[in-house]
This record gives sequence, C-alpha cells and structure tokens, in this order.
Amino acid sequence: MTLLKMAWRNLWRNPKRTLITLFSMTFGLTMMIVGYALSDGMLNQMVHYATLLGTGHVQVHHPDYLEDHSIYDSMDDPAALLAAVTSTGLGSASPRVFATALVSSGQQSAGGQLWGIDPDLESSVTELDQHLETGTWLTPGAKGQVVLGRNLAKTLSAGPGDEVVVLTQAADGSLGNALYTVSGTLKSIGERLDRGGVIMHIRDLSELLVMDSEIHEVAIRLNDPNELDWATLTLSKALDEEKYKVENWKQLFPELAEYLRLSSSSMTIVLFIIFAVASLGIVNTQLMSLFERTREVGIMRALGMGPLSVVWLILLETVFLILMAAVTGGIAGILWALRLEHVGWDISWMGGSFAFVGVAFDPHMYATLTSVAVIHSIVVMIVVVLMASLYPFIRAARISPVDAIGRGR
Amino acid sequence: MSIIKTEHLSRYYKQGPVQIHALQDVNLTIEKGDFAVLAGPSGSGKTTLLNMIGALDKPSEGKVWLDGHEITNLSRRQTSHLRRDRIGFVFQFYNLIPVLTAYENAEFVLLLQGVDHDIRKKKVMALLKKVGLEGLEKRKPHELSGGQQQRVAVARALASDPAVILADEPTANLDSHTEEGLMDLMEDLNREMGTTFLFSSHDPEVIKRARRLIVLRDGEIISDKRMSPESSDQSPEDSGV
Repeated sequence: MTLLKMAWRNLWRNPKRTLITLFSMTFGLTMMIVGYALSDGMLNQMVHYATLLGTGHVQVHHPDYLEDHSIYDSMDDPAALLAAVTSTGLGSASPRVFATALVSSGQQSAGGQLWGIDPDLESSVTELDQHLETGTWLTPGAKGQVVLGRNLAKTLSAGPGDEVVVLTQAADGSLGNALYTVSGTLKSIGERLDRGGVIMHIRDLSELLVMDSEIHEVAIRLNDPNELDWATLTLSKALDEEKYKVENWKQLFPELAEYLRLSSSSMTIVLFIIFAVASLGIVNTQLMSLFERTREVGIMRALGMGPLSVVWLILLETVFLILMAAVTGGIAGILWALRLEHVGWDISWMGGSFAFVGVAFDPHMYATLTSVAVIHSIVVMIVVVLMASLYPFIRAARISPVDAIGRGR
Repeated sequence: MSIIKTEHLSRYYKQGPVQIHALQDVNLTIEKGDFAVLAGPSGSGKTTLLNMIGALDKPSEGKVWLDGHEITNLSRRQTSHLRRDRIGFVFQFYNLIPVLTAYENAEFVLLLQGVDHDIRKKKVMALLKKVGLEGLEKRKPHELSGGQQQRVAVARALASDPAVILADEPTANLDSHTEEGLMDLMEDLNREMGTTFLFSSHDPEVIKRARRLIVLRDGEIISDKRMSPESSDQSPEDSGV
C-alpha cells in the first residue's frame, strides 16, 4: 500500500514531466489504435473491392476456363447450374459471359474485355451497379447498352449517350460487331475492369458471340462470407467436379489472401517500431527521474528496503503511467477511429485511386475499429514501455546505498 | 556488553594505480548504552567506519560484529534485513523520503518489517510525541524545519528498536539552537531508553556532549577516551581532534 502511495506521489513530484510523458504515451497509443483501425479498414475495403465489386466470394467455371480464358471453355445449361448453386442456400448467384474485343469510339480504339451479365441477378451478387462515376446502370430488358470501365472511357473519350463499336471474334469463327450506347461509366474498381471493362447485358453478348445459352462463369455472393472455405467445399460437392471448378476469392487472388494473412503480424511489427521510437522519451524521463532520486533510493536501501522493492516502486510508477495512458490514449484513439469509421479520410490528394495486386481501392479510406485493435495496441504499448523501462529498473536495483548517500554530500 | 566490535578493520580504495587507505586496522568495541562520537577531520575515515558498522559497505580486511553476530560476509538480502531490524540511521541531510509525511517517514521501517497497522500507529505516534513532533504528523518534509526533519529521522531510527543508532554528521546543517535541541533529545533517549548512539562528527558541540570520544586520523584510531562530566567540558582540541 505504501509502495502504491509512494509511486503515485512520486509521479506528481514533477507534474510537468509526468504530463509530457503521459502525453507522448497517449499520442502513441492513439496513433496505434487509429493506424490499426485504418489498416483494418483498408484491408476490409480491399476484400470488399475484390469480392463485391467483381469476383464475388466464390466462382464456378469450366475446369479449363481460367487457364486461357477461351470462350469455348463454357458451361451448358446455366439455368440448371444456377438452380444447383442456389439450392445449397449458401447465397445468391449470377451468370457471366466473357470475351475480348476491340472497342472504338470516334477515332479512338482500345482493347476491351466484354462482361455479359444479368443486371437483375448481378445486383444480388456484386455492387457494381452502385459504383458508377457517370450515367446509369444497365436497364434490365433494354438492349444495346454498355457500361465502360473508368480508364477505357477516358481512352475512348466516351461518356453516357456516346456510341461505341465492339468488334470481336464470335464462337462460330465469324467476326461479330455491333454498336452500343454508353449508359454509364464505372468508378475505379480494379486494374482489369478499369482498363478494359465493357459491361453489357448477357443476352447482347451471347448474341454477339453467337453462343446459345452457354456461360463462362457463375459468381456467388455468400450469405456468410466468414464461412468461405466451408462454402467452397460444399459447392464443390454439390456440383459435378468433372464439369465445374469451384474456387473462392482467396484462391483467385492468392497474393491478396497472403497479404491479408501477413498484415496482422506485420501491422504489429510496424506499431511496435513506432511505439519503440516514442518510448525512447519514456526511458529518458525515467532515467532522469531515477537519477534525481538516487540519494533518496540510497536512503531507502540503507533503511532496509530490498533492491526488488525499489524495482517494484519504479515499476508501479510505470504501471500508473501505462494505466493513465491506456485510458486517455484508448478513449482518444477510439473516438478518432470511430469518426474515421463514419466520416472516412479522403486521401485523393495523394494521387487519386490506388491499386494493390490488381485490386483498386477508394482514395477515401474508412477505418474499421475492432476490440482486437484496441487491445492489441494497448498490449503493444505495455510490452514496449516495460521493455524500455528494463534498463531504468536494472539501474534502480543496482543502486548501492553507500554510493547513493555519498553522492549527496 | 559490547554491541559493536570491529577487528583489524581496513578499507582500501583504488584510485587509478594508487591505493588509498580509508581505514587501517581499526579495532573498536562499542558497549550497550554508549553515547560515542567518532571525531576527526574530513577524510579521517569517520563515515567509512560508520558505513562498515552499518553494513552499508564491506571492509577490505577485518571483521565487524553487531550484537554478537558477524556481519562482514552477509548477502545483500541479509544486510538489508540487518539494517532494517537492528540498525537505526540518521543521515546528514535530505534524510527523509520527500513524498511521505512525517508520520509515514517514521512508519517506513515498520512497514518494511511488516508490523501490524495498529501496533505501527501506536508506536509511531508515541515516538513522534517523544521527539516533540506531536501535531505535525501530516506534514511533508518540505513543510518542516531542518531540526524537525532530523527529529523525524530520529523517530524513524528508533522505530525498529535497533541495537544501535548510527548518526553521520546529524547536526551539520542545523543552526546552533536547533542543534542543541536535537542533541538534548538524543541524550535523553540514550539516558531514558538506554539506546546506543554512535555519531560521526567534527562539530565541537557534538564532541562536547560525547561520553566516549574516539578520534580518527588518516584512517586510524589515535585516541579512545571515556569522558567524565568534567572532562566533557574540555575543548575538542584538548581531546586531540
């Protein structure tokens, strides 16, 4: 009890110094929590973009389709396939047809990737329809509409209302070409769609490619994305493995999945380094405080206080600082992160949109605050501060009463 | 009955290639109830000898006994316990723990000993009354005068019922009036409670009060006299200081 009392009073012997130390710890913890929440938010955003703005959580293809994206590696009877997928009750499904093409508008032309989708079903799987930069999404039932990827639209200098000519090789070997009206353009989503995406109704594309009712892909949005592996396995079992290959987004974007797996530990290391730098000030403060009290510690040692009790005293002072910083830094960090969770942080001034392993993400970052982020940050602070205090603790334990008392003469 | 005994006690310090003899072959016995002063000029070895007796430092050669037990080769933990339980210290200045009140400072050693709250309170209050600090229990050291601070230190030194109180230049920073009051207090405690006091001092006022005067020079005892009331009136110079 007396050690607690002494430790608390010792802290306030030099209030200015204690407040500065407390401020630096608070600042460090706040930044850790906010950094952690922004990182989590960014990762969530990446997964969101990778899945709900294109891939979906799980995809079904012809077993050979992803090797060379041949239009001939298609799947028959999409209605039966969609029924088989939806009957599992795992989520919604949408059929897709793909082809490559030359897209022209006026004097401009560029290579494009044609996405044939069912606008009704697609909106139950992805959020592409909510990610328009200009114009409107495809109208269900309307013919001859396309939505262009952001960069392709810029390359073609095409916008809503403009016409584009699409030239491609059809499945029967003929050259298919048709005129479409741009109904809208997309915001940045991912390298592939940005550069060449031409999204149209699945019937229009099937007609252009002279395909009957075959499709190249079924994209699935799971009701519970956390059950990704189990859902992939269930779907694989539900479908004929000879005819269909089922893969989830982690298998389709292995680099992104690996990055996400490593990000938690790498984030801890980064936070550890940041706080370690900040803790140099804490070591300095503790050493200064100890140096000023050397004679006093010598007196206590002379009166019979053991070296471990001296270390306890200094440790308690550190613990008080940690507790106070955990409260102030914790509250500040949580409040700031919550604000960033709702309002976000616009980093477009840093140079527009960003892309990582082919997945773009919005330059307006949103934090995702979790209890793990708060607890992890506080644990990192405790570990770093205690490690930083190790040297002052050792110094305190080694104070010899005779030398310390002699110092005051 | 001897409380302290030293036998061929020496302490050397290395200062570069030179060996400095702070104490040389000191043989000394302090009896229970002594009111003894280690006198001598600066550098004569007074503090070094007190440090050896108080188990604050280890001798280069020789042995020290406290209350019949040899303390020379005790471990750090054992010396901590010995100082806590058997020795009372009064230092020259900055003697008290600044963040504790007068009461808490006097209580400090009892807390280290793990004495019960009620016993502690009773004992500390009685001691503070004895040293004339009744009513000042809640004051912090900076709210007390130098003399009052040294009285708290005396109360703290007495709290553990030590075998001996070692006081290193206890009056060095006090004015003559306060010094006289402090010495009166320690003399009274010695007379009434039989507490053994061993001082180091070159203060003529302290030396005048000594009932035993041990004079050190260059780390050696050059005289050790029991002083009669008449002889204690002699000047320090007469005593060889």
